[in-house]
Amino acid sequence: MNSAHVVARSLGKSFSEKRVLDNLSFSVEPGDVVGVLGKNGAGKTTLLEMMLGFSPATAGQVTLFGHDSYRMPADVKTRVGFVPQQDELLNALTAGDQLRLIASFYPRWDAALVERLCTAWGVNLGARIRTMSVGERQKLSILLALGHKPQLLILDEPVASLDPIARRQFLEQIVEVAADGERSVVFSSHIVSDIERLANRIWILKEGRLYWQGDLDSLKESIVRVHLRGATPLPERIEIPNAVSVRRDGNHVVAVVRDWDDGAARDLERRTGMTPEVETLALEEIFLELHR
Amino acid sequence: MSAVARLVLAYFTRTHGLRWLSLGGLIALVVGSAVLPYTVISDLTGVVAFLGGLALVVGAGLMPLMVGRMATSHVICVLPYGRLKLFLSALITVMLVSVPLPLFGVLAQIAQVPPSIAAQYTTWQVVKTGLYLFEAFYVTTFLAITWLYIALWFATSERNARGLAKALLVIIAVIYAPTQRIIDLDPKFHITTWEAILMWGAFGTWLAYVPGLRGRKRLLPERSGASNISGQEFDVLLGTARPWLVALGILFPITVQVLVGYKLPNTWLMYLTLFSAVSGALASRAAERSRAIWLRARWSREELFARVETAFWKHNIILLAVVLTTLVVVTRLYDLPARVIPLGVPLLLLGMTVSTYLGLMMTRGLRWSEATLAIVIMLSLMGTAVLANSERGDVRMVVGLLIVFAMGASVLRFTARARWHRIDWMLCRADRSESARLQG
Repeated sequence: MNSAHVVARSLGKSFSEKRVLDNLSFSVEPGDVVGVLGKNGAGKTTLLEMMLGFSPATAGQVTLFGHDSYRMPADVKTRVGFVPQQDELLNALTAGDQLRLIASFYPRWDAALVERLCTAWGVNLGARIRTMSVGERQKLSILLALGHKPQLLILDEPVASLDPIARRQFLEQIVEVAADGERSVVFSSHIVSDIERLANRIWILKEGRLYWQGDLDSLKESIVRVHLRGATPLPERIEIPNAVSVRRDGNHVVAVVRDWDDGAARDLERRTGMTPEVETLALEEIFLELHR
Repeated sequence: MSAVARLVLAYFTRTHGLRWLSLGGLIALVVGSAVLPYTVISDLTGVVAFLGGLALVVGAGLMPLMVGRMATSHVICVLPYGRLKLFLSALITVMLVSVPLPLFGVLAQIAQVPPSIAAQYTTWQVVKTGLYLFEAFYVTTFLAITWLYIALWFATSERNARGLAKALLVIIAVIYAPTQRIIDLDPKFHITTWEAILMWGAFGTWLAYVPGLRGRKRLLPERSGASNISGQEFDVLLGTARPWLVALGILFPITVQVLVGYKLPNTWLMYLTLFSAVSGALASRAAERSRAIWLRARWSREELFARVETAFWKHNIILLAVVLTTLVVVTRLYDLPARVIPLGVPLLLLGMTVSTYLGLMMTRGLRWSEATLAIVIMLSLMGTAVLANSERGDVRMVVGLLIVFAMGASVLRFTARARWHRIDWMLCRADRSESARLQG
């Protein structure tokens, strides 16, 4: 039996005429911490919400723990935690009431864990939710998703409103969640440094398609900046296979290349007669280059 | 002025549905102005003109919510003359939408003057009389629409028992004040003008100081530690945990109405029908609230609908008891015709049923089709209530209409059930428009 927490095959989603997700296939294994990157409108929220079965797929299928997510059975729900982009807290309640309310839905609720995190994150359980700041509401939303110790945690831009200290505490908590190797986390964020620090797998969404998926090291090895320097002026036309972007400055050509490996290096050296110098990029640079 | 003009345009064109309504109202205004003076006014042309005028009022129906949101936003503090522009945009909008109804009224009056009598007056005298009538009608309409938008603001910005009570109270005031003057046969137009000036003055003052008031409000100490959980977690998440609070929201304006000595007892059934329908409409938020429940509860989409339906009926039964008891009390208190109770009880029940299932049907937000259906249902319910309350009304027709409502309720329930069985929570979020959803 497949042990993957999430499996998607040829997943597609359209709203009226607009295709938001197109032919996505992926899996999330136990121990994975997946960072989802993409520009606004790339389809990140749609992807995460499709994984949770909030909306039917227009093509393909997503399964959670072997079950169609759209028809998620009760026992699967207890294994999933979700932090939405916009919280669904009830303004009239206090933070404590909201926690008790959500806890009542789960057969196993780790009150000690929630209490510990409340103290560490400075969540005031007596505060009425309508008076809480955006960051405080986000902390509470995260607590609601962690309390039942889900095997799969899905977070849609969970740290957008947190201050640096709270962000660090949250990231540490995510590491703790994923550390046992049995659980998995999928989260989207625009803070690329957080994804770089935390995720062991990266999904880059571009125009509704999964432009790249794999572990961070492979991504960094695969997408690199290549420098070609010549003693004499370089020919007008230099063909660089798989080039994402090419810039020329006299005798110096700088190209960002995808699918880079030893074979590609040898091929480029043969074509140009120059030894390429390879520069590894930070995730943020890769993201920017891919969207240039 | 371009900012003010853009704001006004935005109020009329905020959604596709409102855009079409506004356009319809505008066409009615132009065509009505051209045709009505030369037409023999029939019931049909009168109704068409009235609905055309109403379309423009409804077309700008989101204006109160938009103005309220902008007035309480931080952005308004940094925009140059932001509050003044907002105030002007609201005022101009109400002035514009107040034009068609009095204009049609005056044109219809002029058209009805027999040619032999009309020949005795000069064109200038006709124009002068027309302008006098228009001024009188216009001021009253302007005031009534101002009140109506205040009611809409309460109902749309505070979607809870408090907002409901405020909105119903204002609706009563809207109908009470003008009808009182009609009964007294004293138009008191100068008082109406002063009322309008005072109301807009109060609104302007509020607008000028609202950010400051908000800041001060935050300094107030917060109550803490109070528990709100009733023990029924599902109802808390769905919003059906406090039916008694909503019941109080209904009883408050009714009590005020009784205390001020309401002079049109024949409209009680219409009021109560309105209250029962509005109470049922609380179900329109069920879909967006249910996502969090579905993700945590043990139920499938099919089971979820059954639970939601049951929860709303447990909630509604208390509200229904309140309006039915009120019906019996006011029937005795105001000595209403005996037929009011046998006809009113099923009408109130069906009003609540129809609006509940219409609300549950809204699994993709309030779209053009549902909004139209809601207006048609509301007008039909009001019409049936008037017919049932009137001793001259045909009982068979009322019974026939009740049967139609019962059949309509079954169709709406069937539709709601089918929609919930394939509910798509990406489409039913009130806080995000479709375009925003597509942002990913």
